[in-house]
Amino acid sequence: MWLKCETCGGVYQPVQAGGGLYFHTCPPLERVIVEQPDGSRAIVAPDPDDKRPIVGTTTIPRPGVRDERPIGVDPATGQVLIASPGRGVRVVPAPIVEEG
Amino acid sequence: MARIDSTPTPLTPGLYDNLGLYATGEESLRLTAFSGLAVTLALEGRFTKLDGTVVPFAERLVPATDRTPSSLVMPLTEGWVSNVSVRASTGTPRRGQTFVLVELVRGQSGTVQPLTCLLQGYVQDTTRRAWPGSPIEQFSDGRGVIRSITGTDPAANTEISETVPTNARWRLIGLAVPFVADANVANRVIVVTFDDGTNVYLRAPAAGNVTAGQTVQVSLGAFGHTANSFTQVWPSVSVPDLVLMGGHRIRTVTSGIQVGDNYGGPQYLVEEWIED
Repeated sequence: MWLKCETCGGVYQPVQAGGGLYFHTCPPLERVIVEQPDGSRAIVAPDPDDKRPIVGTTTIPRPGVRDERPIGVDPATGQVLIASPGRGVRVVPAPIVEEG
Repeated sequence: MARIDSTPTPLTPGLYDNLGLYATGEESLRLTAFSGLAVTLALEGRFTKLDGTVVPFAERLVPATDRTPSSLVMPLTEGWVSNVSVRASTGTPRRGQTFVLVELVRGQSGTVQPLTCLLQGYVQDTTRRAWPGSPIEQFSDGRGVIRSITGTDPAANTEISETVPTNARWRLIGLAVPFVADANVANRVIVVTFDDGTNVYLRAPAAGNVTAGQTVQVSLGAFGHTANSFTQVWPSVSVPDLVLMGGHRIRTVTSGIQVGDNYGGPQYLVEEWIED
């Protein structure tokens, strides 16, 4: 079974070949640090049309992040609680694996 | 004066045997397990009662499969724990996937006081851990299980980001990931970064730049050098022999990434241990 994360669009297998579990976590958002005309710095999304000099890169947390790592068990239901459900997942067909 | 009956209790075969660990009747055996795989664990052994009767026991525990701890408590009457062993009675865990410890504890719920550890270490379906006999093993002792993991195939214009699971320790052996550049003219520079969940502690660049329309297969390993084929489609990333703890991340940072650029799903090989 393959799932698609509705937060980041990533596609993954929650149960791997061999039976081990895979815990998807959305990647952070990439940002660049630009130098503004007044000498101050700003963190912005990368934009090829932005002519301000890039002086560094950083990341910021993705809004609505999905993080499937377990953090405990619901005492009422016995269900495993994950760090952040995000916008959920849906089942999708397996992606085509390119060999080379 | 009353006579004291000094007739000794007859020695039964059970009392001739190694009596093992005395239990007062207020103690229990507690099996705690951490597993990254679906298994059933068998806690088996023998208990010798005060009258010398030897009673076998066999309990089952189905632990969680996300490496969080699961426990089974088996109350004991007064007597002696003669021997204990744990094995995987279902499932086929490899060394590094299922870790157990058996303790003598006082109390059955709430505040439970551990008194001694009888056995501790990894178990499989074909091997056991036993008391007396097996050495006490730590999580990271010995070799771990070799796992080939299919990571998340990100959406277009999105970087690779893989997180070491909770309660796992990884040694990264290799990683392969395709990258397709769209038609926009730009030099893409791929850097693989490693962080502790917050702070980057290693940046490893891929050899060469990726240009418009190229499809490359990035390969990461402890090569000792970076290399590139003459057509620049097999850029390598050289890293040291890395050990990563739970919550650490493997990410790409691609300067010059364009809106239609697309990483495929990474495939990586790790040696994995439980680590709580």
